[in-house]
Amino acid sequence: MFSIYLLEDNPEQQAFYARIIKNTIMINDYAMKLVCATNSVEKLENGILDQEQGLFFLDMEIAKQTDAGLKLASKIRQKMPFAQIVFVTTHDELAFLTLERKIAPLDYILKDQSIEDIKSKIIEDVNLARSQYVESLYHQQSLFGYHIGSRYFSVPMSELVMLYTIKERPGSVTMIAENRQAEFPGNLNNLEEKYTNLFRCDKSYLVNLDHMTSFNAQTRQLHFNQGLFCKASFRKARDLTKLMKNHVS
Amino acid sequence: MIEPGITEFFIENFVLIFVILNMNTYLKNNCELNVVTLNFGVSILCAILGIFLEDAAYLPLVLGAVVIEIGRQRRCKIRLRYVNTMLISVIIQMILISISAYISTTISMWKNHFHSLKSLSKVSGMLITQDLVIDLFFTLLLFIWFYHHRTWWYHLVDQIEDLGLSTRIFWMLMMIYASIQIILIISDIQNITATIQAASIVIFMLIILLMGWQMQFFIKTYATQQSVKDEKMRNQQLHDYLDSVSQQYTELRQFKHDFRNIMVSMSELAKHGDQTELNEYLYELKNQKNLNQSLKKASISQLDHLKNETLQGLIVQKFFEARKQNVELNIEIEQSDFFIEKQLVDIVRIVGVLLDNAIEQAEKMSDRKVACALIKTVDTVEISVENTVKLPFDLRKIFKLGFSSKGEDRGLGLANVKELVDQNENFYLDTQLIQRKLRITLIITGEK
Repeated sequence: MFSIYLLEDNPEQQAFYARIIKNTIMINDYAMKLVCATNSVEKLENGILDQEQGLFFLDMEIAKQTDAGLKLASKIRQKMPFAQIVFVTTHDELAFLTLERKIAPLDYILKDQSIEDIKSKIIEDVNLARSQYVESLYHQQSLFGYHIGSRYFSVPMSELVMLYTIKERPGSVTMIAENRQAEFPGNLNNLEEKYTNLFRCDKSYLVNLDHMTSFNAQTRQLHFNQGLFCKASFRKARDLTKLMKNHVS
Repeated sequence: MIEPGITEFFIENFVLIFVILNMNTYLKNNCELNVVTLNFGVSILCAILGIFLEDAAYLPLVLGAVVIEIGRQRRCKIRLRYVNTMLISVIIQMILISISAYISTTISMWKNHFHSLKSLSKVSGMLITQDLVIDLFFTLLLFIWFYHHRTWWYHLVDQIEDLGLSTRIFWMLMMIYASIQIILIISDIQNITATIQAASIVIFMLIILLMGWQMQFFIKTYATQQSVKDEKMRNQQLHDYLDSVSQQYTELRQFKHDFRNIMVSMSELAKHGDQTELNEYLYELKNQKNLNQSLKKASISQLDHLKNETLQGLIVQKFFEARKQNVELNIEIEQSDFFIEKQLVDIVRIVGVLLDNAIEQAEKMSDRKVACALIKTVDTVEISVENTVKLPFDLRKIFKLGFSSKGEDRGLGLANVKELVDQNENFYLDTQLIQRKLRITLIITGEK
């Protein structure tokens, strides 16, 4: 059962949101449940079930405290890394980019919209959370994770294209994913050991073969989408040819 | 003139060059064991070279520093900051050894009751050791002095670079080095004794001290002048900003006035129960431009939280540039005192390029918005810049030289960012494309 939580200190609004959520679940016959609708941060925190996922609708401002929802969101992220968080707020000077970087919420619902807009937003978010949840049930989604200092980041393994090092930056690895490019401290040997699904085609390249579009055995070049390519070492090119032959037959 | 043997000459050169190199590393603030080992090797090599070059023994060091810098930057523009420290180390050592030689000669003559310099040749080996001991003693004193004033020194070096005075300082140091070198070479050719040589160098040194003192004064004045100029510009910009805020306020008051009038009319209508006209009024009210307009125009009120003046100045400047192009630049700073301690010069350059690029891109988009967030966590600082882009968008190409989504040959900026990030090993770049938003984040580790 997928759990939904709601934090809102205005009783009318709380009842209104709760009704929309319950109706959406009922109409679609989803295996979801609104487990907690409250006006206090403590109650919600104590009410969080020990599950991997959950959908949270959080009011930013609780009892005149403008960052209560934000603080709670950070705590939820720590407890439940895959939690889906939606901020419901009137907060005028919302720091969107900061929130994106720190919490990465699923959505924002601005209270100064019309009632219809708010309603359709909530329904949309419940549907979105559910479809992502179902997706994660079918495909045990593995993640590629790295950290810079105390900041932890992750990318779905299915989106990772390659990891490589350049000699100008020893001790630092560059990651290329479908819609992301990032650098982080690390070395390929450790990563190769940790993520066995990746293929070490060269001293300085670790690639995800799922993204390879073609391999030229003559020139020993691996090609990927968007014009990316890299070279395989002599020995690894042989391994790769063997691997591909096995795969085909 | 005393003619020491080759071995002594070698040892003398070796010790002096080793001291110079270590002084250089110390001034550059990267004392590590492997650097010192490298210095050791280089010293031996240079000392061998020095045997042939005699008094010009330090020339390879200066030339070497220039060549290495050229090699490192892979182009003919060098970072004079590092060459300058090498020059300073060489000059200081040259002066110190000359003075030590003079002191040591005097001591020897007084101790051994020699009356002519010729008789000193007998003890030349001992003399050189004595020279070196005195020299090392002075060097040690200098290191201790430097240790107590190191913050002042690093601050001064940063300031010189910020003000773009490196080139001037470089030529000044080069002149001083050339002058001392000439004194040494001529005194060698003319067989002038250490006494006269030391005297001329001491005089020269006094002039240098005077010059250095003047130079520091000059830098201070220059810095003040620059900051006054910046301040003036910033004041002007803030003035413009305040103007626009007060204009907004006037509009708001106007709206409140209108709103009251409408309310009065509506309550009258409600009293009489006139439904159609009431609906008409409601409709009109709904479509009021001012009501739908968001009050939250791009604001820089949070910029107060940023305590680095250079970075603050840069962002204010970009904010107004963006406004001129009719682009909203939103600044988000959560912490109430956001302060970056290290590598500010490079950070300011990177943020400048990122903002320029984002603003230029935003001009072409319908939303005309750029967001910039400064986020501090326990041990990292993050600076994010976000803008909308046209799809399809190729993330791979933006850091390539000569590419930009803005057309050919204009992507130099982001290629420079990549280079700057690569030069600082605690900088990490994170580029994301989320739906239509391009978000580039610079993550800096090692900040408190």
